[in-house]
Amino acid sequence: MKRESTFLFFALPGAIFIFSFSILSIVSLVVFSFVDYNVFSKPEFVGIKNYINLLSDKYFWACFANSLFITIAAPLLVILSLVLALLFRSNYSRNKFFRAICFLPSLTPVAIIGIMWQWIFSEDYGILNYLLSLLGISKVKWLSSSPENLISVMIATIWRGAGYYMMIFLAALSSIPKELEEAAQIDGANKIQIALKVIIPNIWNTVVFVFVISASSAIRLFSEMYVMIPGLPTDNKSLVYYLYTQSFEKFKLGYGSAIAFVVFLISLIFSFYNFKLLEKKNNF
Amino acid sequence: MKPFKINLVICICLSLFFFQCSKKKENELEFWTLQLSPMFNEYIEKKIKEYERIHPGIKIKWVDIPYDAAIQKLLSSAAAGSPPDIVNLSADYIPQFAQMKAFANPADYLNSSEINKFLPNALRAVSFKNQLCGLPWYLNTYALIYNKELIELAGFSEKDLPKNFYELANFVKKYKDKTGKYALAWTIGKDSFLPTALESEGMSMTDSNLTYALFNSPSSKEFFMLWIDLFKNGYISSDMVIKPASYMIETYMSGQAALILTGSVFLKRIKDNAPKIYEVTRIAPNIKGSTGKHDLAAMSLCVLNTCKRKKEAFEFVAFILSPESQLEFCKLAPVFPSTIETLKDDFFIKYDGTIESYARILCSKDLLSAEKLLAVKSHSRYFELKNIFEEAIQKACLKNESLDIALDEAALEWNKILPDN
Repeated sequence: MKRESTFLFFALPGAIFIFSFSILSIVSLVVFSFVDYNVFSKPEFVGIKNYINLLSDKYFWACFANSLFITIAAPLLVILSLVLALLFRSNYSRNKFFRAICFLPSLTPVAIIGIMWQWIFSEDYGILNYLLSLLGISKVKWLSSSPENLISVMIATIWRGAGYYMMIFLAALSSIPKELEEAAQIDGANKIQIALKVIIPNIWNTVVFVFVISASSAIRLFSEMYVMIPGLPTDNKSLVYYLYTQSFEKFKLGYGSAIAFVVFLISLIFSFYNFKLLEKKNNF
Repeated sequence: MKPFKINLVICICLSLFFFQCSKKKENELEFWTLQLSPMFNEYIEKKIKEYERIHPGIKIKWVDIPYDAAIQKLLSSAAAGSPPDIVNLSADYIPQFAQMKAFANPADYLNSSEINKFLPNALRAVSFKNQLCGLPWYLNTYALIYNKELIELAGFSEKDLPKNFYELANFVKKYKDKTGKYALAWTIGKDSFLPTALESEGMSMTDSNLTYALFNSPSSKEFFMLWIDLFKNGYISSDMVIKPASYMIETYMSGQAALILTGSVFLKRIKDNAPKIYEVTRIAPNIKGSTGKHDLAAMSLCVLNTCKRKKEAFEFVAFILSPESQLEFCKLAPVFPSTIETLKDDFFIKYDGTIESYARILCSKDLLSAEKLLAVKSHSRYFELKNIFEEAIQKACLKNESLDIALDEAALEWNKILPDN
């Protein structure tokens, strides 16, 4: 009994932390979404007005569409990181080097990545447009036109995330018994068939996990966009960037909370989808 | 002692320690500055020590915050119930907080002789609805900073430098036609300088009572169209439409632009970060419109209404803003003082052969006639209005939307917001 209470005692700080910064935050977010509040004034209860305003806010829908568009990055990220993991899965020293190179961007601060890609995509002085001009392709407005600017942000996000998800896939790949692949090889399967018929079904849970995590991150995308294209017109922004503008530039914290709650719901739907997919797979 | 009890004691001690750390002491004043650390640590710390020596009962806790995060940090500290007592804010942000009744009025705590030490235009810049919200600290006004080498390479001489906005537009065109490069780093979309230029040309963004928008008048549209056309014809970089004003200096420092209209404060940055560009950098008078009016940028020190020791807080503010302290600060930082007496010092009058000194003399003369040009900056929802206007310009530049329609729509939005002040 005493031993149990000691364990509980040690778990207490973590529990308090999660309660304060996750559960309490979500509850207060819901509460704030029903008030009009700007920090210095007293919160005024407005019922569901913030949500009604959301429905008629053209910028909200434009940003929502942008965030959905950015989620295209999720399947691309899954495919790219899986391909990288398959390429560098064996423990040759050469592969260890490439793994480290791929993982490096995920260790680099977002601000640095944003500035770096901002230079790469610079319309007048960027290396990308310079290379394209060598191929005879005219200047692309990577940062100032839509949807090119969303694609630019997606590229930077994929570049940053691929190495991280590759590591998750590498961990999953190490759990596949070698005998399975050897048996498939003896049966005459080529590398692509082995990957599609043996490897992916065996790490399906991880594939779904990576997809959901990356899709949910894409929905919540903010930092890369904020650093890369700080002066974007509102209808080119992501949903979380719009949330930031409303909450911390216009001080509409109640309205911002309503947007945040919608983002939370979308993430929740993705998680739910994750469970459903896993359930479906487990029923095979 | 059993491990459980040891853990309990450690946890209680840690909790008490953190609680104690977060608690503001009774005799303590929390003083926030904007991005002055680590460059001016020595100066600020020295001033705090001097003040504490004269006022033994008071302790000053100095916190330096990044410029970009100032508003968010101020908001979050207010939400957490622990706002600072004294805060350094750009005058542009004052109306937004003044509307929320966030600031104490210096006139209630300081006598008029102490307030009259300041430049009247600087005092106006830190007021909201004719009420002082703080006191002006350091000031800035604009100058034309140019790259002599690039100008000469393009076949121009210093005599050809533009003096008004129409000449500027013409120069931008000629320069690009001759060199294939951009002449100017001057933001017209995000953090647009067009409204200031418009006011300087004698047209207004709003009526004098801030009740309706005027920037969609035919003459204003014509002025904006001049710049939109320059952008559409490739004479202005798209970076100047989507990137904030802070990007202009980077463009100049990398040698991608020959002219920049900005505060002479940036000379030091050019000197430190781009010494080769600095060597060929020269200063010319600020470009002004037909009215000759030009803009004043002011930093303020405000005491928050939540401060429990307002009298002492204002005494500290007056100490930091005294003419002597300001002169000392101006010798360290390339800024201008807000006190009349400091501006009379030889430091702002005598030329020592450096471009910094030339810029100082040029800008300090201009400082006396500079004003917060945009009346709309006194609106509590200024940043919202600014954003609407800038997006209209961005739409006209980037989305092929007609400028007429974009400005008319923006004016309609302004007219809904303007009465809410």
